[in-house]
Amino acid sequence: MTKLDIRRIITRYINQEASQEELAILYEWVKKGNNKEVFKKLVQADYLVNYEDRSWQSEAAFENFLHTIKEREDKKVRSLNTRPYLWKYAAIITIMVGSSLFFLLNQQPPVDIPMEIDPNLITLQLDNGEVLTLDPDSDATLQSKKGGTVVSLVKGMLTQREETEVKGRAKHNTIKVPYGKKISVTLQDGSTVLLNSGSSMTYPSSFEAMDNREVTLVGEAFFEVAKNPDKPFFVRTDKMYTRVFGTVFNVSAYGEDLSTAVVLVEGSVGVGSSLDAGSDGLQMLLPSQKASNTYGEGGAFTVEDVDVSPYISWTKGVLAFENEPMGEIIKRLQRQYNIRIENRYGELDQRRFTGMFDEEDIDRVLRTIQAHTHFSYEKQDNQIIINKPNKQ
Amino acid sequence: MDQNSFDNEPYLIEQLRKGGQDAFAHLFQLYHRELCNYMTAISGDPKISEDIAQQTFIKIWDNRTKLQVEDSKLKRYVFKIAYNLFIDTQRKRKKESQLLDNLKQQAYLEMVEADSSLFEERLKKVEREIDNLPEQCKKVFIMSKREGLKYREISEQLHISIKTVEVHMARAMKRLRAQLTSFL
Repeated sequence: MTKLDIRRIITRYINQEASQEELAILYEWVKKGNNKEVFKKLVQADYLVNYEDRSWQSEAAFENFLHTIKEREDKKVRSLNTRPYLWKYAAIITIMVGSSLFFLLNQQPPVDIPMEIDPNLITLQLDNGEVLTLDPDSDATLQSKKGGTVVSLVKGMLTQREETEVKGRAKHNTIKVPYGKKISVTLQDGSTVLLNSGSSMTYPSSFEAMDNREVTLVGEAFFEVAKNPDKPFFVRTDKMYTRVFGTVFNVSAYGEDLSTAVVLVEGSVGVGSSLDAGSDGLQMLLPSQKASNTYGEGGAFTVEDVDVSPYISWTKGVLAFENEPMGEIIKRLQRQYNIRIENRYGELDQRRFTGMFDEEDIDRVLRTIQAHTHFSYEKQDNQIIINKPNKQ
Repeated sequence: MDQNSFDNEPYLIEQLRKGGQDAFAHLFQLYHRELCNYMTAISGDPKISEDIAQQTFIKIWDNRTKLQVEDSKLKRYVFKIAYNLFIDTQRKRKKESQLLDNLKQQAYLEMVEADSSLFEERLKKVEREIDNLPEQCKKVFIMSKREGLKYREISEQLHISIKTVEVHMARAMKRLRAQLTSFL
């Protein structure tokens, strides 16, 4: 490498004409000896040769500057003013790229809960196999054809009464809530259960003849359990048992979701992977704690402190996401709005959002999320297809 | 010096932090022209330099509340932002370019921060060296660097080949560099 060569390369570099190869040569050269100083001097010489004192439109540039910053400040003020409005309908949205763990887990295709009979009605299957259908939006009192079961629905609240007491054997009922609906069930002991969309619960007509109060849940429900120290209350889900000691809490155990979670609002509960473990095997929760386990990770529970409001906001008709991956949000939107969503834009599944939506239509929800990340979607009948954004 | 004058840098910085319009006007008055000259010498394009100068002031505005500048380093701060904005417009930075670009920036900042009389003196020296170039070489150099003509235009006006223009330019640059690096 001659001195001449390196000077030529430096000139080309200063003029932004150097190739990758020349850059590499220059890089090796400049690291040696006093070459850094030589390099700087050449740069400076070039600068002096190229330097020329001209006149510039500094005043016009300043006017332009003032105009630009004024526009920016106006924009800021505008968004501050609309904050209360945003809070009500869209609230805060933050974006994060999802973890790789989530990405791996989410490779499984989403599963739909199959809903038989009229997909828009709540069904109650009685112990004798008879199926009653209910519309949660209108009040009704129904009587079973055989036996004396009376079911009444008042303002979305279901109560059930047995006319004839059958001793020794509990009668099991299964209530199924379709997508887009919710229902509140008052159990025989006075406990209430608010079932979220796409959930089902099996429960006995009466706890009288039983040592325990036990219900089985698929999906999500909000429990307010009546106190009865003599009869513990259990919520059984596929992967988790929750033992309740009189309390308010939320259980989420949808079949298609990746994890089961119990969030305690008030009182005390213990969670375990099986009933047999007894009290010793239970993980106790304090209010504002969440216990969760992820499928495929054995019976281990993760307990963490949480802000309960996003977990129970659905009971007030508010859809809230707390740093939730879009893949999970899509599942919740499907349940909440009883709509099929097909996501053909895979990367979107990993994006995380935090936000709150107050009784809005799905277009509003999707448009709000769209304002923060680009995708396009089309709506046909009861189906939404999310696509990669069109290159503009 | 009056403590509450914009000529007092800590006061100016304080006012910039508060977003004072007068303070920004003063900042423009102080550096806009030189910043444009600087960026033109680096980029070779007056349009790009005006644009970068504008972006620089807006960036200072955006970050005004966090403005932290060491004593008498405001000029360095302003010119550094401009250089970084310029580098950002260039191709993606590899580790090679990073080292070289940083060295280049150091070299430029040394020039910018030099005492203005010293800088003037250096510029005069450049003019003298240009004046000392061989006649045809000098003509070509001035047409290219000072009048901004393209090699093709120079070759047409002087009735010489483009190749000859290139040779003259290379010779001029080589001589100037050799002279200039000796006193830098």
